[in-house]
Amino acid sequence: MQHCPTMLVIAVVLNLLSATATAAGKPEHAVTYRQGIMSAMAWNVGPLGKMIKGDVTFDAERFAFLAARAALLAPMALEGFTPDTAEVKSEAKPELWTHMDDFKKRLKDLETASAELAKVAKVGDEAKMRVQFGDTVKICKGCHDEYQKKH
Amino acid sequence: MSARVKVWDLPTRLFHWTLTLLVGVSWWSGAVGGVAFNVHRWSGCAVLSLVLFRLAWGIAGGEHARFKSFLHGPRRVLAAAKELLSPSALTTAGHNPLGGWMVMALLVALAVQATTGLFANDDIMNEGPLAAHVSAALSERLSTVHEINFWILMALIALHVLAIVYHRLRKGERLVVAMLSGYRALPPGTGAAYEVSLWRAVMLLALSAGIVALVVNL
Repeated sequence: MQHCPTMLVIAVVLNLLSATATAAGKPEHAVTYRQGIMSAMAWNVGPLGKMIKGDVTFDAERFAFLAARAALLAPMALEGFTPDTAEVKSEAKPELWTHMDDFKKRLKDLETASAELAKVAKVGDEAKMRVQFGDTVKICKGCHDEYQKKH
Repeated sequence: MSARVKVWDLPTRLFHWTLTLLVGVSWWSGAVGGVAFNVHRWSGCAVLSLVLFRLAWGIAGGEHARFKSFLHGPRRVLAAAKELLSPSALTTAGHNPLGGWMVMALLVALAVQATTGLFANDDIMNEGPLAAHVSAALSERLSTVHEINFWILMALIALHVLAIVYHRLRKGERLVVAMLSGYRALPPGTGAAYEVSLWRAVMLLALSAGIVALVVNL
């Protein structure tokens, strides 16, 4: 009988500990999070690219909708690139962790460019949308070339 | 004493320089990525068509374009390697046995590059015309091959160019001029290569481009 409360306390403490760990985010969770953001980004940018390249017909309204989503996602990625994720298996090159300032600057550029894209898309000027789209995906590629491992 | 001898027929020369241009275009458009991808896709298909054409030309083309005229066993390759070191000009009219294998290496690397490109994706917004037909995992793997093989191709091209420079400096052979004009200075008495009809080249190129067009529109 006397053991019971002790066991209960241990159980509760252990539970709290693991709950705290989850809330603070295990490194693996941060990686899953940022990969989710990147996947969501590609999910929205892919159809935009198809419109720009002429693979599907250009639809200004859908373009604005997808561009707004991309602009929303861009500032969310950095949160997942915490230093404790450096050891977790992912597509991030080791250089990313030693060039954090450059990486942050690139993400900031993406944030600015995608916000601008969403803005011009809302106005609906197709020529401006095309130019701004090109400038935005250039930032994507620049950063992938620099910091994404090719498996 | 030497005589000017016709060694490279027009289709072989056009093939060479168009391919050179297209490799440059592919490199540029691949590096830029993004909205330049339409150019990359187009030039990749053109490279694939040219490689197919060259394989056909290697079987049914003019004398020095034929594989059987320049692909030899290790003994002759070794002999050519020894001859390479001497300052005297080469005696082979077409590709020497060492250079012949370089041609094959370049063709294979280009074929791998163009074919993997059909299935590759850039993780951002672009994918090859056949990427939709394979699983995401396979597309990833082929993208990796596309990426690695690019460097293999670059190394082969560098070696190819260095060899041309070496021939010019050490042996006084003007191989670039030969590939432009079709003529080389060779020992007198060297007979001109036999050539085949230009129409055959046109047909083979049309066939190659047609096959590529069919495949990428699957």
